[in-house]
Amino acid sequence: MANVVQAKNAGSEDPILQYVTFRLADETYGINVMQVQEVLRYTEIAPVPGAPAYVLGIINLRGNVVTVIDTRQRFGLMNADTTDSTRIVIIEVEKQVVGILVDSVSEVVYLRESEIETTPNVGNEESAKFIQGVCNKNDQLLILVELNKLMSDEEWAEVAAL
Amino acid sequence: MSFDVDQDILQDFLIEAGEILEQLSEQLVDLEQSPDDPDLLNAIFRGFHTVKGGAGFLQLTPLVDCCHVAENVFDTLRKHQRQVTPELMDVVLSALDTVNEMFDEVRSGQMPDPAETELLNQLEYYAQPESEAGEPPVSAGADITEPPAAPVEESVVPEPPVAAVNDAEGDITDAEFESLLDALQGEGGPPSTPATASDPVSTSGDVPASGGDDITEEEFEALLDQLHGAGQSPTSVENENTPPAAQSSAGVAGASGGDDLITDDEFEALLDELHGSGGAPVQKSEPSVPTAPAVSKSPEPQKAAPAEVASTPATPSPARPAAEKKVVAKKDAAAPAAEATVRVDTSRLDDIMNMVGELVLVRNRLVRLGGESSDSELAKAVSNLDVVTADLQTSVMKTRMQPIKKVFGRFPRVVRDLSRKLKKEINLRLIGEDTDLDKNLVEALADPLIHLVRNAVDHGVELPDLREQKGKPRVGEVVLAAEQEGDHILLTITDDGAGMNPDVLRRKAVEKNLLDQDAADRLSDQEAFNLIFAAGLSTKEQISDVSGRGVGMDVVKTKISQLNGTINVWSEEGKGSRIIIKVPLTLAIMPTLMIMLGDQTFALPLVNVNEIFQLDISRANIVDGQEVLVIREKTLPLFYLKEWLVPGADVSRDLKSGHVVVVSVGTQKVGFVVDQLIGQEEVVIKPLGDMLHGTPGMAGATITGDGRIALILDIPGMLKHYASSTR
Repeated sequence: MANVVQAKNAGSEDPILQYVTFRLADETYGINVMQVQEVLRYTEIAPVPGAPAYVLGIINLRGNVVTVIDTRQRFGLMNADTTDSTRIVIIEVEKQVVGILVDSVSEVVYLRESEIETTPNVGNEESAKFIQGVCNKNDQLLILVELNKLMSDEEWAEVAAL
Repeated sequence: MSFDVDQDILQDFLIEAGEILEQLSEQLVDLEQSPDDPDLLNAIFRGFHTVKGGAGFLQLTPLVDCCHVAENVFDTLRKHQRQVTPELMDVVLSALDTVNEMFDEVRSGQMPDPAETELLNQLEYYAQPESEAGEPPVSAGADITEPPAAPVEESVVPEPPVAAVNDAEGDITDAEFESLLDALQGEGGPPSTPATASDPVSTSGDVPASGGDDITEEEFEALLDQLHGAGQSPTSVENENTPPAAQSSAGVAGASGGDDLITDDEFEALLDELHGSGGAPVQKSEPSVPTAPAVSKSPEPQKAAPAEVASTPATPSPARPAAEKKVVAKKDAAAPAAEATVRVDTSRLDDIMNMVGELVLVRNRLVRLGGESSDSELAKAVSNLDVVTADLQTSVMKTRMQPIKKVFGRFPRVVRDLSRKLKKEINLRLIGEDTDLDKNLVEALADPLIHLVRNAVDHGVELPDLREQKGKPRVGEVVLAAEQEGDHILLTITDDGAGMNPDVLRRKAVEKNLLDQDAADRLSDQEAFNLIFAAGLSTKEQISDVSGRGVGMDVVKTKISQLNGTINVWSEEGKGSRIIIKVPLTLAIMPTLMIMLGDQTFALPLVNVNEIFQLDISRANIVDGQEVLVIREKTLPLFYLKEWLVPGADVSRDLKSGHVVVVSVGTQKVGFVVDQLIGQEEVVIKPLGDMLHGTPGMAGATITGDGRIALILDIPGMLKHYASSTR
């Protein structure tokens, strides 16, 4: 897949980027496809006592233990019940493999870099910091998430120091 | 200084040579025990030779030089021209150390520094036959005027009766060798074939004795005679690879290849003769490269060092078949060794291990489903799968196992060096070298064991005279034993030395403020012995570079506990000491007690669990806000695990009965109230991952038979975190 993307990038001033879109509450978010490893159906998440609040728990990913982050808590949303369409997206950030819990995963969209607009500063400090930009596609607002900023620098540092 | 070589080749060299060097250290110590073992001598000779060959290929000149002289020493030894003496062994062992150092430098990507001149000189001294080398090594060194980098021998070394010209050195490729023979025979005419027969100077037996791969001085001369006599031009032969530079540079050329112990004079004589006989000047086709090509099959004639080629015309004389046989034998020996093993990255093994673990889980699920179904065909297939998976799992486990020999192997050397240094006489006995244990464990055990063995040699075994006074044999014995005991490996280090005096230990502990007098007096002897694991305690009055600083034993203890192992000391004054280490077979699997809290499963490491009983809540008392139980007249703090580990759980204190697991942490015992007991289970520990690593009280996670996750509790960590925060 990487080759395809690169091939398209080559010779083009306005590279095409691929984003995986997922829904959380009533919004659609996008994450860079290169950071997504796989999408899982909801499996039971074992809570870890004493873990930070943004950690939902751990899951068994074919014999490996993967931490799942509570995206709703991160985005300042209310907790919701899991449904049939609830998914765990396994992503790789800063050389760590983590899962994020989302309401549903929709599709992979192709965006030109020029289509991405900077975030309208609506003042929601809590969630704005990890928004990379927004994009209007087919009359729908797509919020692009910068996964590296899903946790603050201090939190990454905290994780790294552990 | 860095150097630029093909990384793949370098890596191969590092791995291969690394193994050879490890073996060498073992073999050298063995050699001291049986100095006349020809197989051993040959093996060591080959070892140095192979390393030299590889290093030569990579142009690691200092390494080549050092290996080369060491190799010469063993060539002399295996021809019985010198006896193995402790002094010689010291030199050779320090040469091995030097080679190892260089090797480390190479590994870190640096060009190694040349070996110390003194060492090389000493080695050279020992490389001479005893009868010839009258001079002590030091003065031999003084004679040498050349810089150390060029191990020039011929100008100094008196001519040995049997010059060590080794065609087996791999300096000449087979093809070259053959063509050379052909050429010589074709051109040199009949005289060259019956070389030995027509040889006027040839002395008896020398050639066959040395395995046919060495050329004696006499033969060399005979060859010269023949060449001379033949009166034909050997030029075509020389064209291929005679560098001798034919010209006046011969002396220099010979020097760099001085390996063969051919003196300059002879060399020049040869050249002269070649000139004379051939008429046409020999063409020098290649520049001389002072390093030897790596392998005998190396298709790089241009690398053949001058002197080696100089030996080439000589080689044909020792009856052709002999030489050929040698080459064939070499091939035979190399082939099976190369194919018997495959190197696999350990991380790949870990992956396989992981996947097999997953397969086992799927199997378990299938077995459960198969049990519910009434289809007999399915049941058959499932039971088949069951067996195959179990076999697969054991085989994969076995691939990770290594014999403990890997660690034990280095001890003969350690003990030998130490005992020589401390002027003690010690015999090391190894038992159960073939005991297999997990690779990681083998590596992790190396340091603690070395420490303990050093201690046994330094503190344990007494000086020979003292031993005699005490009526013990002069030679002390240190026994290192390993055996499998159920799911544990038992390692014991026993010495028949002085043993320990518990009172001295008590006194020392008080002196060093580790304990007060009362506490020290209360210790049982056994507990007193365990004081040696306390930091800062050494009973040795004098500090040496071997031991005596009082650090170390506590490190050993920590290391062993990290491996989930235990360490114990037994000692009797005057009789000796024994240190007993118990470690699990593998680090990956841990026996646990599975419990339920609410609907979550947790695993308590079984090493901590003491007992389990039904709680009668009426027996619980509250002391200073802490619930306690009185069990067999001992009070036991009681904690509700659910309160700690299940957020928002409501713990009803008025239950009539519950399960209490008594765990021990250090000397303290604590009771945990749990909802349900599932049972004992061996689990594979999975790390929690970077993000959760270090979460208080959690040692890791594991996957249960039904694919769910169970957290493994780290009991000391959990108590520290939760018990202190609730109080």
